[in-house]
Amino acid sequence: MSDYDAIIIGAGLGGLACGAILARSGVKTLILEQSGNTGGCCSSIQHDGFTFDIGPSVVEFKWVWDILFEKLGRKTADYIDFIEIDPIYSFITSDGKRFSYPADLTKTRKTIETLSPDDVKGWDKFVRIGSGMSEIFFKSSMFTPMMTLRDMMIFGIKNPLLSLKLKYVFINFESALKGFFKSEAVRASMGMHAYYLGLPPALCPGYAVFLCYTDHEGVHYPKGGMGSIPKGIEKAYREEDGEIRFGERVIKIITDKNRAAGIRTASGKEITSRVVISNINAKTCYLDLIGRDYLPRWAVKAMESYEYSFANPNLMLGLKDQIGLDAHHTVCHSTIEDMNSAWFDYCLKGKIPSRGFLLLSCPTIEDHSLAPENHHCLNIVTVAPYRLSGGKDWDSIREEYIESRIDIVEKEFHLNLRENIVAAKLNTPKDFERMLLQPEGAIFGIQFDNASSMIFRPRIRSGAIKNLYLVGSSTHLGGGTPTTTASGILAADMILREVF
Amino acid sequence: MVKKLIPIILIAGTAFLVMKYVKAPESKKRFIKHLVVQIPYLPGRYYA
Ligand SMILES: Cc1cc2nc3c(=O)[nH]c(=O)nc-3n(C[C@H](O)[C@H](O)[C@H](O)COP(=O)(O)OP(=O)(O)OC[C@H]3O[C@@H](n4cnc5c(N)ncnc54)[C@H](O)[C@@H]3O)c2cc1C
Repeated sequence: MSDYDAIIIGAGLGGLACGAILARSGVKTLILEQSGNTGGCCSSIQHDGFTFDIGPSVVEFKWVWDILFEKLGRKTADYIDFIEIDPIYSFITSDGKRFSYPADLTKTRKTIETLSPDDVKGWDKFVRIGSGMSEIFFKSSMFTPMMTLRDMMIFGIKNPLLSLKLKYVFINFESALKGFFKSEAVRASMGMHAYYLGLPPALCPGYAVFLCYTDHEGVHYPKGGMGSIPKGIEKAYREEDGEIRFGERVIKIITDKNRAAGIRTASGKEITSRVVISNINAKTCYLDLIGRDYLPRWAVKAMESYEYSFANPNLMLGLKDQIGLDAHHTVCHSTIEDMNSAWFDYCLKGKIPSRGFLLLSCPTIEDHSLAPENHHCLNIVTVAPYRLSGGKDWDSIREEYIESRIDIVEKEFHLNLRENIVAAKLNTPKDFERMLLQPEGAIFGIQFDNASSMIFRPRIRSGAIKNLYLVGSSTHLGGGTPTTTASGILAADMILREVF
Repeated sequence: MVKKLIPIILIAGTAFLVMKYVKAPESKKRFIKHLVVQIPYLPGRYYA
């Protein structure tokens, strides 16, 4: 007899979604979380009277939570209050120009027309193909496990249109954009979406360009901060008698003849279970928690071969006044070349880029409850390397980093930032690693390119250890709030079919 | 006859791909190189 039916390591979105469905189906479930909170990357913290989001700033594909709550016999609105964001983005160029992309496609068409009349035709084609790709690529693939070639073939047969658009898998993001838009300014305004997959436009697969389209199907923010999403799922999980223990770090997955049989915590507790579900980085799960000695040689090699995804230092500022931003998300406009250079000439060389990806997020534009009266929250998110060159480390360059980001926003993008700051907190890649035990502060677990996605990403049902399942950013669907939630749904459905 | 042709086709095909790669813009080269260096790991990744 095992102590529990299912043990979940980590209370991120994937772990919570999986746990809630299992608990709802009567599976005796325990979630072990090393920190004091649910949500992992998708958490909010309190600092000097402000509620700051430590990771994500918005969600796409809100319908994923509708599917989750429907499976739980509940309504999303009773647990999470999503607010629609419009305009989706506002852009500031270094010569002070501004433009926005509203949620409405026709209005965005007008913006494109003003930027580059030649690109209106390209925009129409982009919208046409984008709506098809949204159905096939994002909606259908979201609930297909995609573990084997057979899964892929069935997916292909069910979605015959995909074969016509397969080229977007084999070209890069940059080329895909060029196929639609002539003007560098328009392409640049969409280039940042490559970083939504954690890669620069040169390395990111071409299909990701359609995220610029799916944004128009709705971008949302949960009232109360991004941490309200995991809190909502946690509530439903507890209502179904699911159990969570905080401050419990799992240091070992116990295996018996290649079968997961339970876990050991840092405090020395051994707890047995029929299945173990890992919501942590797949490399850590396999190489450290199971251990190289308990894995087949090929599995060790495969895990070692994955690169961690990139890191996102997040500078959280409390402001005594709005600094004139037009939207929740403001992108400091950079060329595609700058975005590539940020990766190749800076990050890969251990240097912090000064351009290429600078996202300002001001959630208090929609949700005033996050800050004291008339005050605002602002997150400045950039891409940066975990390992710094020149013998520097993140702890020693904290102040320098904060000052340099404020300087860029003030000098290059002409926003009056410094004198409005009343609170500041920086989460460096090192902080993410310490807080969430996410190696290298990798925000999407492992990289998400064609060679490490779909059938080449660690499987939801482990191929090496029986009764071990993976959820979260380093398994199928990759990083992102909807995708990790969907991985939890997929895993729970699979476990209920195969084990209980 | 067919057996004799296979190596020729393979060599010609490889030469064609190499030529295309050499002529490709820097961005495409980076994309291809990034994936090609990972090919040896794909079988292991597939089963993990
Ligand atoms: C700065 C940043 C910006 C982002 N922006 C966006 C965005 O705008 N939109 C979007 O959709 N996504 C965004 N993301 C990505 C998204 O937040 C993540 O992909 C998603 O939240 C990860 O969920 P997960 O299920 O993988 O779990 P994680 O969030 O990785 O949580 C894993 C949990 O496991 C716990 N844990 C780790 N090791 C152990 C252990 N040994 N024992 C017990 N517990 C353990 C951790 O404490 C953590 O709580 C962003 C992420 C970051 C960091």
